Amino acid sequence: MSTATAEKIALTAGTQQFLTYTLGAEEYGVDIMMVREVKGWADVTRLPNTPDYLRGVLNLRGIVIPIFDLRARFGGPLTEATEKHVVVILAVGGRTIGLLVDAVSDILTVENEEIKPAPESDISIDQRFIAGLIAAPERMVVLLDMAALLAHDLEKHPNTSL
Amino acid sequence: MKRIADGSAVLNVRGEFLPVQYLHALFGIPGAVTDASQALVVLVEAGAQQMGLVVDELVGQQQVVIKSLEENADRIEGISGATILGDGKVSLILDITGLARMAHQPQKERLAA
Repeated sequence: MSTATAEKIALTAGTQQFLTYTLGAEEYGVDIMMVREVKGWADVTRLPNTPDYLRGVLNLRGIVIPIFDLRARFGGPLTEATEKHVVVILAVGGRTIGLLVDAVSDILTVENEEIKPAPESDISIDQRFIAGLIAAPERMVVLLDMAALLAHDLEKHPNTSL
Repeated sequence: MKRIADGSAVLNVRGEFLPVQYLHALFGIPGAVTDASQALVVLVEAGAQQMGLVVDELVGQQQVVIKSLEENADRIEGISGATILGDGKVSLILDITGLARMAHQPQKERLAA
């Protein structure tokens, strides 16, 4: 793609870019403007009396950030994190958090009309946390509403971390 | 160490009886040393209150800069903050007053609160 085309895409109102990552066979996307960085998994410090999906806290160049296991958050088993696993660092509502995922796969530029609402059923994740679905050739990307997800967890565990 | 009626433990320290709390029980940490005779008791005080905290092992003593945990995560009962150790790992700092408060509250109630 030429630079001119790339700029044209970036400048078109009505398109959005998403960083996509995988959890097993599923692919999820998050608004690229929220992504601060992507780093490899490193051991975290567990926080007491917090849900399992909150894996602990990590030192990110001097700030302490919580790391969430997205698979466990959605009812799956805890991810057996290895050096090959990836932490996506996001800025969500004034906080910096990390998501433990299997791998980062792609950056997608999509037109707004390509983002479809989630169907009412057949989805393991609570509807509230799905911002939409992107249908790309031979694959589907689930867009998560991280802000809603974190706000919900905060309400559910007011005495613990997010 | 002696047990008293309701199952809580006290420790005779130079003629004074101090309440003893198992840190692993307060924090729900599996795999910790549960036999106090195999563990260590750290005497701590906050204000006028003294207590013994049962821990597995002492790692070291150092001066640290306290970082807020609440900046990105939320408050956790019994933890006052965090610090970053020389090797880059995060270490949690205990809130002794908070731990004493937790000790007076059964765990179920605490988690439901």
